[in-house]
Parts: sequence; structure tokens; C-alpha cells
Amino acid sequence: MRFENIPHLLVQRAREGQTDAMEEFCLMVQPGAYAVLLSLLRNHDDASDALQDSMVRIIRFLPSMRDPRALPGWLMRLLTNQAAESRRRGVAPVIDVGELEEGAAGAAVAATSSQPLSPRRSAETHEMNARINQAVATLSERQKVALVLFEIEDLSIIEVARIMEITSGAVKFHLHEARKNMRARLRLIGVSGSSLCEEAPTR
Amino acid sequence: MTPDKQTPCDRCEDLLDDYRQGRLPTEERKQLEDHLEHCDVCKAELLFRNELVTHLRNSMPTGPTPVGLSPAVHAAIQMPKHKLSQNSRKMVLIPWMFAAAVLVIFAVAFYNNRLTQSFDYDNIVAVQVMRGPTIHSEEKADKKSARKESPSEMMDIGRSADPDNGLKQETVMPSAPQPENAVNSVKDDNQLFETSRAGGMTLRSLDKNIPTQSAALPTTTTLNSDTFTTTESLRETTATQQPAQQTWLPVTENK
Repeated sequence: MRFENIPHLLVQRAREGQTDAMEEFCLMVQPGAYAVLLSLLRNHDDASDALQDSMVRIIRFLPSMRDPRALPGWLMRLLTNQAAESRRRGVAPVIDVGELEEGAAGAAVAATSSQPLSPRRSAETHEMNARINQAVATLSERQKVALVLFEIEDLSIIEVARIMEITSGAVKFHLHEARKNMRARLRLIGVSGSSLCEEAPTR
Repeated sequence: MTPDKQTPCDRCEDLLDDYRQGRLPTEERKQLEDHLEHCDVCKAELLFRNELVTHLRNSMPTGPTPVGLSPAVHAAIQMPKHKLSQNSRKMVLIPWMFAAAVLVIFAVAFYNNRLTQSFDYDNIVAVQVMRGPTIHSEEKADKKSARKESPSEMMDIGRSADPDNGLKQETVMPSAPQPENAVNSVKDDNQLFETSRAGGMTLRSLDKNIPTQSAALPTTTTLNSDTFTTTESLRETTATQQPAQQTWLPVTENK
């Protein structure tokens, strides 16, 4: 998990209110925090705004954190909550599924190709990435958090469950729903040359 | 591991994630790989999950990552600790204040509910239950002993005699010697009396706007162990219905 390499002594000094320690701590936390927020919000501007709010919150609540050993999970929970709050405030717009259908025809490109991209192909890839990000934005907050933490942050189901404060079964459920929804949305986008366009296996 | 139908088994779906993350023990990993060779559905699911992750990672927006701390973050770091903790202390106090408010509301509601439960529809404010024998036919036989009972064992029944002044008189009745039909007639006339099988009870009407039922009676009655005062109508009723018992029902007109 991220943030596990932060020295315990530094955290302790920052909790005691030492300004230099807090500044150093923030500088260590900020890159990872930004990456998590970017994964969740899929937008630089939104992630930057959320990052600032998150850092202020971290500074404010770090001294009152109960168990300093649980810092990585605490930070991840704070960041996912901050991303959800940013989304609720309308910073990250919720994309309607219909918008995905409109631009589906122009974005039918295989993104997994390792060949050098021509300018046209690059533009198409960029367009398709934007569509994928829109598809992620259509997921519910819990589905998105479960998907990002599990697939991008490479956390285990148990770790995701602790961060989301739900059961492991609930995490699996949200993951399953997120994948099902993503399959349907990516089919609308028309991602070709992959199994994403195939029908979901009948269970 | 072999699916019975054309669908992957549920166990396989769980194991696929552990397999992809390299968290599966060697034995289970081999079993899963054997299964994947024969099960196209599970293989397609595995392929889908891998490609989905690739798409999610590749579609991540690229751009400049913030370098250094923003002025707002610097200001928060420089802010004195007591100010930060003051804010957080306020945040902590809010739920407690809310809980206290809810508690007070419930306490007031409970208190009011208890008050309203003691109200009668006939504007009876309070009901005080006192010990004493009840007025029932089965106790009529014990007339003499009942007459000698102490005042605390009597049943006090108060009701509004004067509609303008609320409770003015209390009607004290001995429990035993009262003829049953006479009591019944009192009940019928006033409908203010309540009798308890466990004991007597005192009913006090404090409402000045007492219903006209009591006002309709020509005279207020007072009954006690020695003297019984009844309304004229009640006296007539008892006289006609219980002529033989008039001897123990000395009646005195109330003022």
C-alpha cells in the first residue's frame, strides 16, 4: 500500500506539532495522494483541487489520529472520502451514459497496441481514453473506489474493505458490479480487438 | 473446478483476482490454470479483467504533477496547533450537542405523555388511587365492618359540584353499605365516577368548564360513613328501588 515508507518518527514529530516535520511529511504524502485522487477523479484540475483540501485535512486531523501505525489506511480513507466529496460538490461532472453512445463511432481504436502511434492514431487514442474516463465516471462512488483501489492500487480485498469500511463480500459485490458496468460502457465506446466487446459470460 | 454448466464456477471468479495479483498458493494456482485450459468462459473473464486494468491505467490523464506545497497547505502547517485542535474540538462537540438535544426532547415528550395519560376525557385532571375496599355487590354483606373502617380506607370520590368553581366538594362514600343500584345510578347520572376493583379512587375535576352533566343535578351529594347526601333524583331512585334500605341511608341536603 502507498504511504508505508513514511518514517514513523517523522509522523510522530508531525503529530506533536513540529512545523518542519509536518512540512516534510506533507511533501512525502503529496505525490501519492495526488496519484490516488487522479485515479479516482480522472481529471487533473479536479485532482489538484481535491489534493489541496486533502492536505489541509491531513494536517488538521493527523494529531488526533488514534493509531499512527494505521497511517496508510487512514490516508487512503481520507483521500477516497475527499474524492467522493469533490464529486458530490460537482467538481467532477457525472457523465450520462448517452454521451458515451454519441461519440462511440469515432473512438473505436485498440488502445493496447504497442506500435508507435501516428498523429491520427494518437488523437484517436486520446479520444478513447477520454471516453474510458467518462465510463469510469458513470460508476457509482463505491464501485469506482473498489475498482480503483483493487485494480490500480493493487490492494487486496481485505485492505480495500478496511479502507471502505465495508465487508469483504461487499467489496467483491461492488467489484463485480463495476466490471459489469464497465463492460457494458466500453462496448458502447466500441473498444475493438479485445475481449471487452464480447458478450459477458453467462453465469 | 469443472463447471457443471456453460458458466464458470463462483469459486473460479474469486480465485481469478488472487491469481492475477499473485496471491494464490501454488497448488490452487495449478488447479486454476488447469481449469482455465478447459473453460473458455473463465478464460474470457480473465482476459477481460486484464484488459480492463490496462485500459484503466493507460487512460489515466497525463500532465504535470503538483510540485511543492500550495500556499493554503503552507498556511495550514504554520497555523498554531491550538487553533487547529480548536476546530476539530468543535467538530467533535457537534454530535454530542445533537445527542443532548434529542435527549431533552425525549424527556419532555415522555413527561408530557405521562401527564396526558392521567387526563380523562371528562376533564379529570388527576386520578389518585387509594387503598380501600371497592363498591361491589359481593362486599355488601360486610356492611357493619365496612362502616367502622378508618377514613384512609374509604374511597374518596370528588367531582365538580359547581361548574364555576371547579372542585369544591369531595364526595366521600363508604365502600360497603352503598346499595349497588344506587351506585349505579350515580354512575349513570354523572359518568364521572370510576371504580376500581382493586381499591377506591379519588377523582378530582379541576376544570371550571365541567360538562353540564354534573350541573344538571339539582343538588350536590356528599356521602360518608355517617351521612349520605344524594341528589333529589338519586334519592327518589333509591327510595323507589330500595325502600327497605332507606333506614341506613340517612340523607342530608347539602348547602
